Amino acid sequence: MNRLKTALKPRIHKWRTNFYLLRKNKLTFLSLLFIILLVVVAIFAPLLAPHPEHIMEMTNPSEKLLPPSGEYWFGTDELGRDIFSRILYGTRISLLASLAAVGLAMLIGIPLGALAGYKGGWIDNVIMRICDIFLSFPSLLLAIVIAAFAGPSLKNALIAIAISWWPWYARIVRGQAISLKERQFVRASRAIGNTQGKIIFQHIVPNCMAPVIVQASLDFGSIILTLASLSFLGLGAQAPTPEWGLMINTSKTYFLNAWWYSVFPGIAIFLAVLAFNLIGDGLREIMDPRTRNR
Amino acid sequence: MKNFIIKRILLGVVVLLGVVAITFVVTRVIPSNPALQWVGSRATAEQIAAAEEELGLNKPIPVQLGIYLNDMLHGDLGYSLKSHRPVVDEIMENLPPTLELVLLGTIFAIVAGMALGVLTASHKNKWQDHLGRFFSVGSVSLPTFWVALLLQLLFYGVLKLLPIGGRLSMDAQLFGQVPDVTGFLLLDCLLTGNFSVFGDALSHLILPCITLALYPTGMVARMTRSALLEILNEDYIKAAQSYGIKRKIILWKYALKNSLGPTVTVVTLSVGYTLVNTFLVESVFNWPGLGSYISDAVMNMDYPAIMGVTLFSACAYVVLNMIADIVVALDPRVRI
Amino acid sequence: MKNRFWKITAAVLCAALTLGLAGCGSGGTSESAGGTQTTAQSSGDGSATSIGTGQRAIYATYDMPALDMDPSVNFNNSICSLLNIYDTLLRYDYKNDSFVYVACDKYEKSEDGLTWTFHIREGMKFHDGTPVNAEAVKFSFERTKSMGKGAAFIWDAVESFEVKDEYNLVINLSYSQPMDLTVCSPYGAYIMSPATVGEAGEDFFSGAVDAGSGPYYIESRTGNTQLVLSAFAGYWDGWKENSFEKVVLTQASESSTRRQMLEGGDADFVSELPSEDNEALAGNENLTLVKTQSFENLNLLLNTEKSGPLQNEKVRQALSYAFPYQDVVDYVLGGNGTQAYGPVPAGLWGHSEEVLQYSYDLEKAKALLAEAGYAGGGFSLVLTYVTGDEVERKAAELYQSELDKLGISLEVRPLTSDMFVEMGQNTDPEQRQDMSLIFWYPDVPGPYTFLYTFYHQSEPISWNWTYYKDDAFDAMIDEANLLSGSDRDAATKKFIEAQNYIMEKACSINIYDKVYCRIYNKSVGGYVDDPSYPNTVFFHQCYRQ
Repeated sequence: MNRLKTALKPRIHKWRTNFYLLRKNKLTFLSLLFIILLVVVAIFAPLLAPHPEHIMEMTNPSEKLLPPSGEYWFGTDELGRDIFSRILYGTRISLLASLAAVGLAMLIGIPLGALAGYKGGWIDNVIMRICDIFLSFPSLLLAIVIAAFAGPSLKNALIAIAISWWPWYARIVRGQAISLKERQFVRASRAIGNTQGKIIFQHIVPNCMAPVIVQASLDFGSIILTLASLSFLGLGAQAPTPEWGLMINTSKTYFLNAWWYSVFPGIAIFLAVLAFNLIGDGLREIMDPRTRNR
Repeated sequence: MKNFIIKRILLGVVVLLGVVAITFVVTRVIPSNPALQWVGSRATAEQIAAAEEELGLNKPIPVQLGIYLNDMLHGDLGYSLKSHRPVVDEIMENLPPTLELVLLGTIFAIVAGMALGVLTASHKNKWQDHLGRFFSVGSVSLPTFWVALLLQLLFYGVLKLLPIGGRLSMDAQLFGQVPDVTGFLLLDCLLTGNFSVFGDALSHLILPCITLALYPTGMVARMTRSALLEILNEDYIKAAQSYGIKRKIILWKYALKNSLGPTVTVVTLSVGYTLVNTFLVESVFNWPGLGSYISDAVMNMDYPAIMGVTLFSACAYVVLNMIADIVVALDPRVRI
Repeated sequence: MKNRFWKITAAVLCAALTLGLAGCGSGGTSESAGGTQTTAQSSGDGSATSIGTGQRAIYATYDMPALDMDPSVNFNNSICSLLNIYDTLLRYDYKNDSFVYVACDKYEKSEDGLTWTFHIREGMKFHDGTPVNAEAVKFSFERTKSMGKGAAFIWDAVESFEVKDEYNLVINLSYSQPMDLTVCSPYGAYIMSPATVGEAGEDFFSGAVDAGSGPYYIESRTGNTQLVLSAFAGYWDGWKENSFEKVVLTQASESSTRRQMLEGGDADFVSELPSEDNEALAGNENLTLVKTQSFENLNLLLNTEKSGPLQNEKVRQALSYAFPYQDVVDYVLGGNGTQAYGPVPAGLWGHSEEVLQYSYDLEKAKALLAEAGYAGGGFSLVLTYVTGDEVERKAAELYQSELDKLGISLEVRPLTSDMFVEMGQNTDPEQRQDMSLIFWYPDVPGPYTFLYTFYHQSEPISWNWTYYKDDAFDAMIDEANLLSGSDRDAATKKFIEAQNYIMEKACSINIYDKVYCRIYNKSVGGYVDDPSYPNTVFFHQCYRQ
């Protein structure tokens, strides 16, 4: 039985060729390196930060709004905290929160999509119409509305993002599930009397993961950006969390007197989102057979 | 075809009903107290109770939803909790400035984006292409609210060239005899030949407009490039090439024309995106439009206002989506 | 070739335009847009003629200047407009602790303080040309009282308004209250024309209309965000040759925009700027900076009722010693404030430096915590404030940083104003916050409003968010309040005593008394920042130098 399963599993990985293509595309490769750097920073932020005490509670008001210097590379904020340390730590918050948002979106989207694709009929219809409703207004708007009403906090912001994002994954999984449910190994599983739930979660879902993960990595940049946007509107992370969007929001009051306060967190957002988007762009190029060989 | 359009419109209606239901339910499950908002935080308990009565908050939620839907069909979206004025009136007042921004930003994006797309496609894998692609990916990666602050810092803080915000300077507002024909300030100025106000309005418009145009510019450039590349690979183009027709002519005359379909789709969709982006940008520029209106409403938990703007944007988005679909459907090359 | 390109571009542009218009068509057309209404008022004798000075003044406000323009209902910051459009009987003069006579030129009260007779200034006219008389004043106050909205409660003590003759209005009270202070209120004490208002409801005032007798009338209005006022030539107090003929009040909620307007000469007055901007603008030779001691203070109210460490007086005292008062004054306010002595702000009668003042002393705080059995902290507290207030946020964060050193973790929770109130007034004491930041200013200038609001028992809970229950204290301030009508000195003494008593209990951390720091255009003369009418510019007093 197990051997049959392995034999019938679709082979979608050609990592070696893909990695080669990735190496060939310099910009994409650079972005990959940058993302690895981001992850490293995120993990070791408190160790890397020159002023780890400034990350959360600690304030230092007598040194407020100092311009960049050897001591404070990116200057200090309105409570005298080191902006560089806070930006480093912000990497962890942005990456973790975005990861949680994507994970949550998958958690909602994948089972619903699999159910819709596998069952078909009215269940499929209802789930897909609900998806249509969610997809037919801008995800940022939906996230704003949900976060506004749920009360401003980082947790609610990422729930809001997940709620506005899940239909994308549901759609992908549904498409996969429709093609999978007539495959031999699923039929076999049905034939030996496995329950529907078991079939969906043991056979359909695992085999849908690859395209979903690819899609998620394509979305990651936009999710970081959406999270920062929510925080900028005051609907995401709350002070004193060193979230990038929130830092820019706070800096609005001071930016004419302290340019560094707005500029550096923005660069951080931009670079992170750019790296993920470039990777996405590169992946698309690699996976698109029409452009691959040229 | 007819069936397709009817189906599409019906779906649109379903979507809008869904939007109403979702936002409505969301507004009623939160622990906020609209009656308290209505009367202000120093109000007495009796005043709050009276407000609950007045706003119909003591009725069951399904009844409230029914009332809301009924009112909505009659063009009534309720009253703003903060200003106590009809939400519809306020949306209508705030709409023209926002549309002005969105339209001009989109036009800018189309022109710049298509030019960039053609440039990158015709120089594929040369430095122009890399730079252009970097720009188009970069422009969709920029946090718009940050760009807004950056432009203010540069053009107001450092160069002192452009105003930091607002739609008109006070002088122009008071003594410029600001025309009011369509609500689109620039257009009105041109229609009435009022060039001093036109200049003033334009100088206020430039920064927010550029900020909003960045995203669609990247999208259009990207789409134009990939559509062009695909078309340039088609047999008829290859045939044209083999006939010895100049590359430029092929590019501009044959290829670009055929790449317009996907570009139009991207443009319609990005109009919706730009509309939402105004929510982030307008308040930074103190631009008196829907974006500032909703960010105020969000800060004050003014839920009828939030619902009104959400509904309105969803409407606009659904209609734009529909148009995009229909345009694609009308394209003879696409079969449904 | 080029031609082709332009043709295509033009086609795309047209498409975009149609799409855009279709987009706006979906929500209704924008024909009626613009939103500026001009006055429809057929002016009587006054407003039609202009005062002809050609001077104008512009005030950029943080809040909407035309929100709730019904003078009977208004209870918000739009008083900065209303006070220029409507007259009150009297106006409080904070500098001399006396009264300025406006629509009333003399008044008297009965021995028992229950009957007040106000004599209306003769010859005054409303903007609609009808005369201001006792009948009109009675109509105005009764309208406000019967509508029961906004600050209608200021008339709670009134039994009846009675027109004695053309110019004499008698107010009968059911219990003693200083009516001369009440009629100074910027909320709910406006006089309006019965001819214009008549039976009109609140909706009437959503237009570009007014019913006042004040120095300015509404010329045009853009939603709630902008008002253009025009000088009323028939104003009783007359005009100078360099008075402001037109006044514009416009909203600019982003402080950077207000700063730009001020720097560029686009605004003469702006709402408060962040202290960093004040410092940056102080050197600008076109601007004047005035500082005025205000009646506003910032308080951190501690929940004495909720089970937990805050029930312990020693812990509350420790928390009072842990607050970085001077850091807040220096770095958050840029020096525009002073550490408070008790809950009554400096400049107001009843304030005294004899009142117990806590100082920042972490060692003492640690010792007190240990004494209370909480050595090393080990508990957590929730602090709430109204979202969007930068000063409160920064003060909270600075405090958080200090409490961290004591091993107390402070959760700072910004809430929208309604959620903030909901939490504070929650019927279940355990669901309330541990501490909350509250700015307070007096409804009626005096110490009682502060002491009553924060510490006096009241059911249901209103703003006494210390939830302090002490009959002895309540009796002390009630007695002092009764005394204040007859013997101010004795009352002051009692109020100081009460403050010392309450500070010992450490129910609140009184952080600072605010100093208004206002920057305005140097060419404007005659401006006085009056803390009894927060953020209001009385344009009639001002002129262009």
